[in-house]
Amino acid sequence: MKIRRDLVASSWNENVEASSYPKKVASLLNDKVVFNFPDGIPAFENSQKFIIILNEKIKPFVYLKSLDIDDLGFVCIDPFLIYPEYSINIPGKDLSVLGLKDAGAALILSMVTVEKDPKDTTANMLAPIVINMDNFTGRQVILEENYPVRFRIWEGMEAIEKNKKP
Amino acid sequence: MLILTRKSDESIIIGNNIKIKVLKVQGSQVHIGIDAPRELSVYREEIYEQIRKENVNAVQRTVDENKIKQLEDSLSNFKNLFNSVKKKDK
Repeated sequence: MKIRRDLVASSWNENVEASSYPKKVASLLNDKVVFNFPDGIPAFENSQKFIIILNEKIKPFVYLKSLDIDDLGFVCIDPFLIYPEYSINIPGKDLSVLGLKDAGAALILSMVTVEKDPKDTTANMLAPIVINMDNFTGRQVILEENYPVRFRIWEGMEAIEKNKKP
Repeated sequence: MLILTRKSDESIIIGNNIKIKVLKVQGSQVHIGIDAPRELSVYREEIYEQIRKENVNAVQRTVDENKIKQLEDSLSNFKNLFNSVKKKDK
């Protein structure tokens, strides 16, 4: 299944600052909703329940928190926000685990490795978290495409800024 | 580790539902075909290890007030960038 920014554009909120998530999923994102990751995620296979915490202070980043392992959580970001051309193909195996049939129901998040120098902070574009918002099932999908594991968010934002200049 | 010798077009069976077939041997490269149930994921080891390592690097322990502050500081420059991109959108 192909997922590109324009495939979710109809549900995209124009106001990046107010809500950086597609409208369809934004209304469902709160810490009452528990997401089920049947296989956990690589290195943390025992963590199968996660919640997403929206915190004004770290917006547009979100916090993906494990309910199974104390002190386990990840800062994540919408990859389309930092790299609009991001286009991924979710393999059939992952689609069947997720029960994903509608690209519009997919919430894609990239896990962020926060470094002291913000310019060094990266997002994992090769293995995004994909959540099916129709059944709240999630999975870290390792893509066949050649995307970097450490994509410098700063450089991505600079490139976006540059492109906007007339 | 069990070691078996196979030629092109020969296979091995693991359990009763996984088949691994040597399709072609070309110099140092070996083409392998894998038949496995849908629920089993198959990855190139070095890619999988890279993802595992990065997941460990990415862990942020439960954020207390101090850490929120720390995170906020380290992300504040991004926010300015996001806001400047937003303004240009208008």
